[in-house]
Amino acid sequence: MTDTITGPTTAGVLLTDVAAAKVKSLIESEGRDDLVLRIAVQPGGCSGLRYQLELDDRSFDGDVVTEFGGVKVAVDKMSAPYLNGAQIDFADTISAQGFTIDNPNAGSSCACGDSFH
Amino acid sequence: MRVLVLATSVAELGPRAAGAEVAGAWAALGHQVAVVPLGTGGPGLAAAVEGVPEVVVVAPGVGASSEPAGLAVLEAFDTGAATVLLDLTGECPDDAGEGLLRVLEGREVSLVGVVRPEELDAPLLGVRGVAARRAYGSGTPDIAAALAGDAALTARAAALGVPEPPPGAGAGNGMALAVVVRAGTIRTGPQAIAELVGLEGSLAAADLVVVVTDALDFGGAGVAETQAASSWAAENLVPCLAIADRVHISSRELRTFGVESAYAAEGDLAGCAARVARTWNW
Repeated sequence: MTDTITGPTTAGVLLTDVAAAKVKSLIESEGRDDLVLRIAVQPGGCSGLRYQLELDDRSFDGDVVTEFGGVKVAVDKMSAPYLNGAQIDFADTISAQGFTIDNPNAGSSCACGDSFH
Repeated sequence: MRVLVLATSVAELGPRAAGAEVAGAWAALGHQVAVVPLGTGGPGLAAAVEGVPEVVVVAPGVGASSEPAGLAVLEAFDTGAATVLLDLTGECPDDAGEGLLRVLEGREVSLVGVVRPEELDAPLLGVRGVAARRAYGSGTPDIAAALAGDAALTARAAALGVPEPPPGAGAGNGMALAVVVRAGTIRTGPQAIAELVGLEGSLAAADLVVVVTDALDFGGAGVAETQAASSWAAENLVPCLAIADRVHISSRELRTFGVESAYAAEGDLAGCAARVARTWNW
């Protein structure tokens, strides 16, 4: 299956159609319409940095917000430089399940895929 | 033959005494020896610089404000210190040196911020910065706290005339920023001691470097001092040996540190050094 990316391709985070649909269903299951998918980078993990994904109803000064298929994705200004061009997908196969992040800024990742450098 | 012994405390022996015991083995064979104490921080750093003229170590300690540390620095200079080593390797206050800078305002001081080796390039700001480490280190990630703390530190650094804090300014919970503002230097313990005692000349003249530590293990004990010693030895193209009371690292890993061989003294430092010296001499 080939995913198409509907969103800006020059900067910021990219959300595949599959991932956007999954996020949309998660937001709908919460019964709210004010949630965004927030992606952040934080220190931690065996490679030094790790991702944090959550549904968030807050907005912060400097947030970079992009909409994909009706889903808003927010990246805070500290994390934005580390996520420029990162593609978020959702997999549900025998070999991979859940959200995946393909980040061109990551020099290396740990074996568990939880953190990067 | 000229042997340079770089020593930390070993069991009950302070760094000078431990170094002297090891150096004595080569001296007994008629070789020239020099002993330089080493320490990375805490009591080990204080013991290493004990007796070095006009050098005082001040450890800020934990607390909301660094003002007490500033007062201690001031007292050190008022009582004759020429250089203060601000030991930032342990717990440090949360105010990024604000209290210390307030106390030292208008005074000429020579500050060296001593940091843990892994913090030598620690950034003050951003995802790897002080506020992010604090906010995310508690186990309950708080992005709002990270962003607010980072914004406050950014504004503070700019107000202090350091809009782009250099690597290392984030060491010691951000206390190193105060050192940067006061045009001080940020060093590891071994680096600071090397500069204070002019170690460069001794290294250039040495035929063999021997590092002496209490333990050598992956828990970190003795590793920083050993790595510093071996890197200096490598720069000067001389072999580096380690003598530790306990050695828990295999020869293969020791080679990655640049150490030719490590010997476990196991309570008999002088005896071990004598056996090593009989082999390693020319």
